[in-house]
Amino acid sequence: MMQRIGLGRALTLMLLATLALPASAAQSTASRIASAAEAFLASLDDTQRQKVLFAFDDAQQRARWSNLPVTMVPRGGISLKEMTPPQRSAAMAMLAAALSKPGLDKVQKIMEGDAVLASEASNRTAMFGRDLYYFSILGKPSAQDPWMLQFGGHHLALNITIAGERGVLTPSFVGAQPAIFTRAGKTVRPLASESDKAYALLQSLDESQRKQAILSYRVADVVLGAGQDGRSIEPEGLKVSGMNERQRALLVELIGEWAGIVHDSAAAARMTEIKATLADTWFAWSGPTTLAQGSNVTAYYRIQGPTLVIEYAPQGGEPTLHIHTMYRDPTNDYGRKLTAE
Amino acid sequence: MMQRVLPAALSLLLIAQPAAFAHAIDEYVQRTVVSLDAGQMHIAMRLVPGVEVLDDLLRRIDADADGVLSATEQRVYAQRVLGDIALQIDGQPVEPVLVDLDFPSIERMREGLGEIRLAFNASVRRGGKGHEFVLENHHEARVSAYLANVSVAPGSAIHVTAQTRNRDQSSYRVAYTTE
Repeated sequence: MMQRIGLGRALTLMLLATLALPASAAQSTASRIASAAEAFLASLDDTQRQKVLFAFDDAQQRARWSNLPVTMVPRGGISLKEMTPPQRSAAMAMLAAALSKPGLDKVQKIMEGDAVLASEASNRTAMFGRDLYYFSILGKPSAQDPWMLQFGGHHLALNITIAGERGVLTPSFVGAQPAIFTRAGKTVRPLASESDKAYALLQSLDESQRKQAILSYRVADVVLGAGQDGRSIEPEGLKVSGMNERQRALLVELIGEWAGIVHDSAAAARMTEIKATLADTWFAWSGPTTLAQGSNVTAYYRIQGPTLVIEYAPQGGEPTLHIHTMYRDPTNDYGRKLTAE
Repeated sequence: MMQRVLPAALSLLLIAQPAAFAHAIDEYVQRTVVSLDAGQMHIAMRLVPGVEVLDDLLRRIDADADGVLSATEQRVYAQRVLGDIALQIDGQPVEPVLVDLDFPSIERMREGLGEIRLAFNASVRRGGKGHEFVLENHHEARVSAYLANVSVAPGSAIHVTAQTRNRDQSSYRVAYTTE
């Protein structure tokens, strides 16, 4: 091949291919997600398809998410429970295409945790379980034009806006209950990294930094949960401009636990955006500053920057086992910056 | 594919104590966000009674105990909340004015979903460098978890310079400047 087209032309083609790689790779991701969505839609019957599809600008459906069980806050779309095995496979393939591998793994563990809740005799099994997660599609799946994929149920609400090579995961709720359980003899902690990386960052702070970062008051739950789209609050705690390089790196890694749920090229773009204003980002901690081995942080913490709000909020009487987290970009809920709404 | 994504046979055993379903059922979570704008303060409250404290609360809201929160009962309750709030701006007591209220049905509240939304306005002084407001919320103090925050629109002439709270956030002090 090389001999037939000539070395110079081959090198030129290789160079062009290299230069084009990021865009084409991103386009292939967008195409792959759109194809998976089309395959999912094709697997549904007409009634199911009507339930799944919404207008891209359907504000009610966009905001129809919650951390609460689906029996309390009904979701739009159709649940895994309503699907045949092939339809489930197509649905999960679509989700897998839209998420990174670690993101999908996190989501699966959260769903497995809900199955644990369902298995408890003391709970109403109709409220919980890995089948009670809903898919909806807003707009027409496309490799170029914007559309949205929503996936969620108890303790999970992923709002993924896809616009060509870009993907936006805000707002999303990522929680877990139980946040520690065993599966086939192994301990599972769906939000282990969110806990452990935050604790590592806290541990890295010196006394003066801790005084700034640690808030003197209790924070019972997330502040900017469901119903708070586009809103922001004044930041508090320790400003990143007061952190050293290692601490900044720890913070970036921690942020990546949420930003990295979406597929890799979208996550990379989001991290670039977050890093650009990292110096104006804040880290605040409220609650216990100790962590038992193999357990979860029982303190609330918040990371807040010009385009970022992350809240981690352990709940009530069982803070190691019941965790709420919220991931937002108040300037870009449902990808409105991408779609110029 | 399905087997890879959602393994059919998982041995799921909970360690530690069984996790009861709990979304702050024993607390009355009161989220307050104070929005500062030129000449105006907007106080938005979202009140979510946990199901374990709801009956006690309903006895005070649903005065005729008919299972429905009438417009009058809603307004009376909103005024009661207002009466449990103390606001000072630049050292002077200020009476916020109720401008909006929204109550869910009692059924929704019994499901742990009821979010009572109240909105109040108050006037703030324009200009001058240093300002401060103190918002105290003592409504249902025995069972409440308070969250108090301030919001300023991007590009606003108002700049928050300090926020201090007591341990349970029932007392919230914000210092700010205006250009």
